[in-house]
Amino acid sequence: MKKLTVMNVAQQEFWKMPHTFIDAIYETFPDWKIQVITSLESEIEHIKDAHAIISSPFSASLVRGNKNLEWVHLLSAQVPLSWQKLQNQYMVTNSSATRDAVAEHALYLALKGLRGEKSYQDKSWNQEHFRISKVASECRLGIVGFGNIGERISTITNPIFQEIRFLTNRSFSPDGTIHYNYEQMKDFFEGLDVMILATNHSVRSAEIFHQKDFFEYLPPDIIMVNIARGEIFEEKDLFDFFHRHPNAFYLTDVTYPEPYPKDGLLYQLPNGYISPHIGGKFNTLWSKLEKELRVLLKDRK
Amino acid sequence: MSTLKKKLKEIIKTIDDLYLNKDILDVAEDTLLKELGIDSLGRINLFYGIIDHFGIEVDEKIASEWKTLGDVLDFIEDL
Repeated sequence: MKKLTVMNVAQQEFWKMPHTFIDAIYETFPDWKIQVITSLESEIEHIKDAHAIISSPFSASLVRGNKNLEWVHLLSAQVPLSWQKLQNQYMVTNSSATRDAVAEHALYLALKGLRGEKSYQDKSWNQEHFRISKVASECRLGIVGFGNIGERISTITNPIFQEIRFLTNRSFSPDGTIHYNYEQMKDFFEGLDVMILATNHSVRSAEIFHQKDFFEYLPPDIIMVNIARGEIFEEKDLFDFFHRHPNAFYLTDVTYPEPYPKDGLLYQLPNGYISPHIGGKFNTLWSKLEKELRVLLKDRK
Repeated sequence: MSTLKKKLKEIIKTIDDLYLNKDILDVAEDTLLKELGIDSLGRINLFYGIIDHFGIEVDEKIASEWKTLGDVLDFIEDL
């Protein structure tokens, strides 16, 4: 009998799999031996001999030496880098359930940047808590990454912004938008007001965002929103840019590491804002993940 | 040892999901791995990062014996 290991190891209450989700797994895989683990460290042997795994993202190193593994389903919008490198060996699927929520959080951060809210210190009537705002209908928005989330962002921002442009390795972009490839990065940034990073963290994206030219192309008053991954940048380079350009603004839902430490460099930026990776956290998430699991994995029985 | 530390630091930069809370160039070899923020799962990540870098096959059980930075550096030195 094949073994399916379900990793229910989250520490935070919201991210622990509800019984309805686990029940859905049992119903979808009636002929499998299902092992639900709640501690990664003490139950790691159930990862080492599983034929399949359902889990929030975890390092692919942990399955090394597993000669049984056929497929992995990750409850996340992105396939982590360590798994991308192994996609020739195993079938790895991920979830699109958080698409709308993450796209809306990106819009929230973009509007927060445009409205000029600085770090909010106390409950007081103080206009100094806000910079002079910009109006979205007079601004150009650039979206880096044309996946599920990037596309959804363009749909919800299209009515609001003057122009939407994509930086993408695809040769097209949604109707009503302009696209640039990575060789045209300088043109992409020309006259850009707001930028949303919605790209996968991959070997390719690391090459692009770690190159020195990248920060030289950025407009000095750019509003940059990051809903991709914290490690997409070298943090020191990011800090240096926003430190030198006080009229620019960095708003991110992702950091490296997570949780972000209290003495993290980005907290020193008066023009920085960090939300604690909550973009994909919404009230109906688990029921969406359950529906998606039944559809995506029905052929894996 | 400082050459090995620099080598190890280069390797760590390539490993996904491994974050150290101190720079290994600034700490002594007898620093415990857990003081660097490396737990048992981080050890596994580190182990595979090292053997992949050198393109070798070694039993993962060796990593379970690592307690200090020096243990990891000795492992690299012996390769």
